[in-house]
Amino acid sequence: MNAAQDAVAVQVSAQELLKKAYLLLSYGQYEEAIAACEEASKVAPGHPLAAVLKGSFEMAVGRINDALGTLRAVTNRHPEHPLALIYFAEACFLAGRSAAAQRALAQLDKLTLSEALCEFRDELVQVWDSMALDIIPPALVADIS
Amino acid sequence: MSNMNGIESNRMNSSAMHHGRTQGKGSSESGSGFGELMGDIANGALAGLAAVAPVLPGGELIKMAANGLRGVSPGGSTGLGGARGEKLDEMWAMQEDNQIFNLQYMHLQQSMQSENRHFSTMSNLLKARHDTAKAAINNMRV
Repeated sequence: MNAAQDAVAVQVSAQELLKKAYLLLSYGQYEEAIAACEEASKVAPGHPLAAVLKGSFEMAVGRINDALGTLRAVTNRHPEHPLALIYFAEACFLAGRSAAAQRALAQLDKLTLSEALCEFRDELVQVWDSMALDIIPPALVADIS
Repeated sequence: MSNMNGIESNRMNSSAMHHGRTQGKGSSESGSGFGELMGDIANGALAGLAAVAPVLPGGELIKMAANGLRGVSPGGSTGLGGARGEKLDEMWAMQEDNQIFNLQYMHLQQSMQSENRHFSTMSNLLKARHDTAKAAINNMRV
């Protein structure tokens, strides 16, 4: 019982921290958002979402190499986490590593994706196919509007 | 008699009278002879005017008017055709300008359409990103 309650408390705590991180990102407070992700990662170290979002926020700030490192570590530990693979593919594309991006996408295609993830993947591929790297804005920022 | 634009009146009168005599016509015909005389006089006057017009201010216009009054056909007169020709040239130039503007407008439209497509694609991506991140946070299970 206590373990379950602890688990719930940890989950709620981690969720709250990640929601806070997402809101901070939306208001342009990137460093505070990344710090909230790191705090969530300490609260729930076994769960990959905090690290995945941290990698995504690092991409939004333009720290592509940091994002590559964070997301590569997550995909190595959790190779079947679809969101981690999508963000890792995106980071590879932004870093100009098309082959690595395609390999990540191929790995993603082996998984069963939700409708939202399928749509996200398709939009990403469409952007890569239709836009040159210099046209894509450097910070892909989350939008809560 | 005084000279009329360099035409010697004596000679003119003698030729005109000779013309009238050779016709051998009656008093009713003398009017036409007189008309022809006056026509010759007018024609000579206008020819002289056209000859000296270039040295006068607005001379080209005067020359045009003089030649026109001498019965030169409108199509043959350079003066009359020139004015129409200028307007045609202006219209032609306007037409060319219009074509250039149309081309530029078309290029602008194409650029805007491309920008719209890019904007739409990026908007869709941002929405998909937002939806998946929110869903992932809401569905988080530790």
